[in-house]
Amino acid sequence: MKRNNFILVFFILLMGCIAVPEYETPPIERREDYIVENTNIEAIISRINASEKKVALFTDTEATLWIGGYIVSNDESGNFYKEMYIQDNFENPKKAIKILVDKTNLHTTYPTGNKIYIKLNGLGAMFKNGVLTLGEYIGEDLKGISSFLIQEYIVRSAEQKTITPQPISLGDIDSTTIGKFVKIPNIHFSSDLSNKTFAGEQFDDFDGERRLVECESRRSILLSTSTFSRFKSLILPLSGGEISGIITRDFFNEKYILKINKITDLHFDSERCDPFFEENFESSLLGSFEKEKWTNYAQYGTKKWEVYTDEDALGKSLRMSAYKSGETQNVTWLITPEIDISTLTNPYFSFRSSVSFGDDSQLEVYISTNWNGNENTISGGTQWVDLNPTLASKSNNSNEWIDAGFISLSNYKTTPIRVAFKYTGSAVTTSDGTFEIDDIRIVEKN
Amino acid sequence: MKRAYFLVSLFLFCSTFLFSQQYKIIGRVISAEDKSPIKEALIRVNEKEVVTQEDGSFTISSLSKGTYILEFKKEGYITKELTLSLTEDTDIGSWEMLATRENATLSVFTIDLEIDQDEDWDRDQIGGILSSQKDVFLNALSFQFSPTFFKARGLDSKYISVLFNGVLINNPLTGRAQWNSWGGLNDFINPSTSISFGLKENEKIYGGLASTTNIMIRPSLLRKQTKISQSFSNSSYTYASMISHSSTLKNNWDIAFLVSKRGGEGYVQGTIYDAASFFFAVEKNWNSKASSWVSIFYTPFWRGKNAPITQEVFSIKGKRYNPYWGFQGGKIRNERLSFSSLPTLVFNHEQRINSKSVLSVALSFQQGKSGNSRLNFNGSKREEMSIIGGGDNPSPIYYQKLPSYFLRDNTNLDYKNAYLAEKILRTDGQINWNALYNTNSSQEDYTVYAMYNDVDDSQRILGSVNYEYLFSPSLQLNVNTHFTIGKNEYFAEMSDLLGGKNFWDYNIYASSIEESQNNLMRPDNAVQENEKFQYHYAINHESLKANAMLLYKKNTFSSFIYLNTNYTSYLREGFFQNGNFPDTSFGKGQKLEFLSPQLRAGMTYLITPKHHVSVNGDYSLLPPSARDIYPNVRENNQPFYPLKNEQTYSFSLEYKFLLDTFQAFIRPYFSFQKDITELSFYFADGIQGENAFFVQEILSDMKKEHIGMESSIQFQVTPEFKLTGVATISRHSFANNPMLTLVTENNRETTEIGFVNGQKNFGSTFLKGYRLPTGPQQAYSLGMEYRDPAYWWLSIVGNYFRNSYIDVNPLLRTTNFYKDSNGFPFVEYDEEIAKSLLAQEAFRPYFLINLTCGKSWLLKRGTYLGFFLSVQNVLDETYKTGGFEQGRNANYHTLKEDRARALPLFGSKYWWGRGTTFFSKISLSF
Repeated sequence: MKRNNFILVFFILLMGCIAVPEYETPPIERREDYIVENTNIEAIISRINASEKKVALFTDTEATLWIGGYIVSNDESGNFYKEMYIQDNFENPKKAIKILVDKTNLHTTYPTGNKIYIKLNGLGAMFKNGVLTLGEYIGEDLKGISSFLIQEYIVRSAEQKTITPQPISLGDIDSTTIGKFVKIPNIHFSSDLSNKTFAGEQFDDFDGERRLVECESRRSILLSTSTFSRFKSLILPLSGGEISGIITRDFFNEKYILKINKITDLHFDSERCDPFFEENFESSLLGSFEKEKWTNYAQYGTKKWEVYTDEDALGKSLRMSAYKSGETQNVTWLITPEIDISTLTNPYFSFRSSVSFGDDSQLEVYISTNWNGNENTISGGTQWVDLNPTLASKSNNSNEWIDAGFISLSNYKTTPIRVAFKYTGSAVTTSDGTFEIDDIRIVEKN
Repeated sequence: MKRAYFLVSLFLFCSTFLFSQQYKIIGRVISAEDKSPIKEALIRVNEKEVVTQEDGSFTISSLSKGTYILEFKKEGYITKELTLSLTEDTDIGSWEMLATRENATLSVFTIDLEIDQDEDWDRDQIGGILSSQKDVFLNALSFQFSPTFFKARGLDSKYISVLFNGVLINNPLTGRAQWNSWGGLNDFINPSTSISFGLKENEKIYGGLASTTNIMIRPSLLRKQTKISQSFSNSSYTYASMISHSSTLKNNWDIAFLVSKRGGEGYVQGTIYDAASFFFAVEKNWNSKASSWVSIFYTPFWRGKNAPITQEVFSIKGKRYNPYWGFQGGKIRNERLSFSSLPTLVFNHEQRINSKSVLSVALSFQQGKSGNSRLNFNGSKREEMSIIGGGDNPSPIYYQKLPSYFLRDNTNLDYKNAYLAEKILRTDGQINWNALYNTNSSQEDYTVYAMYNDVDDSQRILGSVNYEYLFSPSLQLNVNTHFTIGKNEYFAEMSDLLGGKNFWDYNIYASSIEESQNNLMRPDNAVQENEKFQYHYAINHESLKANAMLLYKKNTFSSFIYLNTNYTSYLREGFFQNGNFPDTSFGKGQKLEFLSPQLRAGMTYLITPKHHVSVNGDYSLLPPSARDIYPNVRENNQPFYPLKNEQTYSFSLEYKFLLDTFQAFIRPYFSFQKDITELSFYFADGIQGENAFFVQEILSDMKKEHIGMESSIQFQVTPEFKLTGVATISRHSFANNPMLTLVTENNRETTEIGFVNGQKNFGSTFLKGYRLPTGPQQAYSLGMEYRDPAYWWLSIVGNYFRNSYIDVNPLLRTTNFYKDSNGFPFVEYDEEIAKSLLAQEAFRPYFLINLTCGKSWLLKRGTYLGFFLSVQNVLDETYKTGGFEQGRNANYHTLKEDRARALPLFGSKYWWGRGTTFFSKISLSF
């Protein structure tokens, strides 16, 4: 009897071993490659333009429409939220579009470089805040595609490519650039941003906007970083180099901004290219321009050069206008501080200008080496040489900024120089136009 | 001469009668079934006690003429009484005793009701009182009341002392007995358990204020049989098989072993279960004075847990719903597994030194691992000086996936998404494991989702020495010491990378790369499976209890006085240097020591044999548990000051009424506690963005009040039919407004809102008067039991429960509640509305009816077949067993807004009781 018991026990002991269950790795999801793209982003744009409300609505009653695109944005770092940008090709894209999706951590299912197909039927497209956007059209606005329905509309393909950023310069940016993955070589942060974080300052509300300045052109664009991004508390790098990201519009659709996917999209491993001398008015207060060593002198009349900002300005810019001055003559001089360029080899002068309501009012740009700094001797007694730069004229649009070109200053190296911007106009409607200037600089150029 | 001789003889004869009118009773006790002799049966007459010999025979001598009641008692047999009139020496002949068929009621519930100890909601394990007692009251507590999470006297399991083969088996750091440690050993445990409840004395240890459970499995005391049983159930598991054997070997050796296996799935979906139990013991009886025995038990198990859910989810999914599981490869995979593997070895020795004193010694070694698994969805990677990555919360009931989320804005109701959310929850609602694997495989350089275990790897030596000395039959002294010394090592261990390659060990909530290193000694570590990460520390502990009890018993009066001193020490040793606390995490911390005396006394007076009165009182200082004093134990070794012993004053009064067939008692009690420190921790969703991380909530200087009345009646209407009734009416509440401190991540965001090093004192929390969440504070039970002489029985018990309260959130009851972010009271604050918003929810009262029945057959000599069936909650009542208020609506404004919604976003979460469940068992013993 006892022996039988032991045998029984032995068997039970064997079965008595327990182990935490093991699970097999499931096979990787097969992606649907049966889809055929039968339309594209251009067609969406045409449809928007053709509609009365400027909204393209794709219904379930029409033929199934699929577009394809490569994902270029990435919410891994937290800089993008419930949105995805795609471009129609992994290199040299023609068009790009933004898709609103009601889901976070999209990078886990839709990584950058992956080609996806989007079924348009049931969605709507329109230019929302200046950006071509696709989403669910509800209540006269586009909302994110429901998190429960994403897989109905967006299908991953097996194709995975490395997206080559398109090199551009800031002057090239227009509405077709929006949404593409671009690269701007030779750029650095504005010099007044030392020791600032990407978006971690007290004044950063939803996004931190930081000025990036392009080396050659001195044009600038704002880098926009979400206050929810993981790198927001890092200090902006002081060096220069290239940056890759996506051009889009800011929340108020006032200006173009650049957004990066992650911190490693900044390759700032070269020197900055700060000009020898630069004034872009970013650190000035709005209103009448007052800065140490600068001269803002109304020779005739009372109106002076003022710092302003609006949707056409380059951040903050400077303007002078006789409009509604009530005065028969308005002549105002903006004179730079005394600049010693003797250390430079090949100094060049440049700036950019724009005209609003151009008419007979004039802008002239002079250089002098012998002004004594006294306002009384500006006119008469000081030798001013006309630099003859390329200026904006009334034939240009008010939002166009014309580069003055590079004007050599090699003949003026011996004595410190001053450059003057002289506005001439009056309250008379034919001569009360506005001149805007910005990015005044002296650079070393070979 | 002849007449004188006769007279003298007559006189002598008469004298024998006059002076030595002492008679004796002899007899022989045998088993009614097989007529075999019963040795060591106890026969008691008045104050005399004798024990039957090897052959069952006994002699009781020196009895005067009169009427006596003889009481025959033996373990495993039904106690019998014999009344006889003694006029001469009497031989009662063979006296039969009937073996008890094992009352299988005992083997059913106990450990099988596994309760989920979830980090979100720290719950004590129940089955708090094992009972194989005939005591109606204790039976009701353990069988009828336990499914409702009823806490006797409002005290949690920290106040229940459990001795296993002489050693105090409670967890040294939490103070709680881990009932799972002896799951599946029911056949041996149930007959070996004795319980002293409340403030009664216990000879082996100065026990807990709620009760002391003494489990002594000793081979020589077990019924000698082999038993095989098979069970089926739908309550905690599906099937259970058990085989046990106990027998005597030659040369005075006794042996016992038990093996069992349980598995399947519980009542709630996804609560998969796998457990095995093994027990082996051998005893040597050296002589009539000394015995030694060695036992080893090992009960490894793992089981899937289930989650507390809101009313919204409950309405859609019902009470079997469990959001923790999903299908993988056709099998159920539960992300929250609880596991344990804790083999224990105990040596016992009992030495009867002389007729007055007994010495018992126990020494035990225990080591093993236990823990819980968890799904991590925060896997990230380092990108230069920042940490990026992380995935969506995969829980199917994450608040942003529920209909309430899409209907949260009254001005912008998103019906479409609310409909879709409801549909997907209703038709699916489980974890999508495939999607997690897919995500991991599409990330090249890091893993987003991974399964890991929070492990408690412990080892300890524990033991006890008991010395009992009888000064006289009425005065007894018990001196006991219990000690335990050991170490519990805690760490997170990666268990399954879910198809990924590297899981980077970062704290994603830290503000800088430095601070996000969980271990500065191994920064930027890519964790592989079976590797330790996140945190690694140990708590070294020592404890010594020394107590002495004097018990005086004479005629109608008995009383005792019990004194105890506890010495307890804890020391945290860190093995990781945490980036957030680089100076206070690694190495040995400060040794924290506590000295806490206790005093208990009681007396019982038998006014008449029918009326008994008892009075008991207790004053105890108890050391805090280790986990209540380290607020951020995973990251640093700083204790929470001030370190205080908890003080409790308790008192109880009992009146018992005893007749032959009718017994009743009524027992009011009162206990008052102060200087309590309680730490609870939970995974907080969305305090900082949408991330989930630990928040630890410390309530200190807390006072509690327990007042109530326990009563039971038992009426043996006929020898077969019995009526029972039990009632407990109580009020357990907070007696003051304790201090609230929160401990959380130390980073820029928390510093901005006033936390210093991740800690912030919120002042008093106005908890006074709120009830404690101790299950139903009123419980009533009425039952009838029928036992047929043909060995079948049926019992039906109806129970009614009420006054069970939700666990209120202390943060809502601080001054934070009515203050706006600028520190000033809300403009629209209305006291009346605030009062109604903060009212404590009482769960709806409910009835539970339980039914048990069974039968046993005698197949052939010595072989029994038994069948047992228990059906619980016959009426399939739906009821809440517990719940807690969520902490996300932290102020008047947000709470009012949330309550105004048809579907609140952050409604309370509840644990729901099981519907109708059954347990059936068939057993063969021989």
